[in-house]
Amino acid sequence: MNAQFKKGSLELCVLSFIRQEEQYGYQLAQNIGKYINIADGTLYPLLRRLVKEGVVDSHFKESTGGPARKYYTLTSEGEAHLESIHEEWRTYTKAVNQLLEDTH
Amino acid sequence: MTKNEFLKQLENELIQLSSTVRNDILNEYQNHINEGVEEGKSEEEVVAALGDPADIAEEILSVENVEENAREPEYAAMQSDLHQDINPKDINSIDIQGDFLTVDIRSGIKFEMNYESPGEQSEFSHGVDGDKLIFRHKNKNAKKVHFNILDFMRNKNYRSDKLTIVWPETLTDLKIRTEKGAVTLSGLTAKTFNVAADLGGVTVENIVGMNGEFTSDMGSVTVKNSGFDDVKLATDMGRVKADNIVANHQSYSTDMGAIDIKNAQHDSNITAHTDMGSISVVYNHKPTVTQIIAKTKMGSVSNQLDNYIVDHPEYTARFTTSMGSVSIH
Repeated sequence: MNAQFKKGSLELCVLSFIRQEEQYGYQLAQNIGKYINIADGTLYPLLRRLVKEGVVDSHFKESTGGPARKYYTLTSEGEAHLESIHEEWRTYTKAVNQLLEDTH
Repeated sequence: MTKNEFLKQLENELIQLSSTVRNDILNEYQNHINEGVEEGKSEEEVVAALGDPADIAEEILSVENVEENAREPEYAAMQSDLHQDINPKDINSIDIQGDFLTVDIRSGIKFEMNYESPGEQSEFSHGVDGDKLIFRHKNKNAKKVHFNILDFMRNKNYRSDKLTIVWPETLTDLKIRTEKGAVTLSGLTAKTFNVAADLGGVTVENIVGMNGEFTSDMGSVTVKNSGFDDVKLATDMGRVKADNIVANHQSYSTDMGAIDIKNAQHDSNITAHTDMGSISVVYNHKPTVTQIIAKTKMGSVSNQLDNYIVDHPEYTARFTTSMGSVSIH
């Protein structure tokens, strides 16, 4: 799949998982990997950007047996942001699907 | 590619970032790889799934640079995840040593810790050793730069880094040493306070402790509304100010500067000495069992506690100056 297209939708995927449940990096990569094939390493720059934008928050939590994990949660600003890009996505994919059907 | 090869390459690609930001990022990748290996995957497999370190670095740099340009330029590096592995309940002592570091510690319900660096000219590290929380701050240019105090105040390149801590627990020992930078403490309780700022003031408020020692070489020392068994305020060049200190033994000294004691405890052992400067003492209540001694070699003494004679003094308050006057109200 086109890299740019994938990158654009990745934010939506990441935020959707984080809204469902707080995620640590590796877990998030595994979850997304079940659906789409991404380079796991690109998640962290994305997460850093989302934290800086105030969409996502991070905190450390003890893990059993291992070092503390950095968990990501959605801020209230993030909730609203996810809502709006989800809506954009729906409108866009709906339009593209319609176009494909009409030109078939 | 092995974990170490991957991390090494990523580190090299990110060399332009501050060490705190870079380490934070490298930690994430290291943890990621460890998690995968923990799950039973091979190191190579997990590393391969991460992608090309060069591509990742490019993404990271675009995110970090955007952020740094957008922010106030003087305060670039700041880490808010400093306290990742610190539980205040497990800590009895705090030990801070800084070159160009301003330190501000206050009490609060929620533990917070922030480090700001205006020029990224310093190396800052912290760690926990047993029940001791240790901070070390070193200026990379400290050996190269020779400056006087005016350079220090004028030139914002010399603006000190800042460590701010909100601390929710009591402490056994709090030890702070800074070369250049002020120290501010508020609302803390500790058995021993040992604070020394070479070039910078020390300001303390609402502190409770057994022993308190607050010193500065070139800066003022101010302590307000605090209680101790023993307390010592000393500076070589600067003013010593005490306001509403309760302590059995109180020692105030400066080589060049005034000593100003307000709301002095009416009965307690006080020693105040300055080589060049005046001493002003204001008692709220008249002492009852304290012998007051006031001396100056060159200057005047005025004691406005009228008809105050003690037959069997239990305490001694001694105010002496070589060049300056003493006034007691």
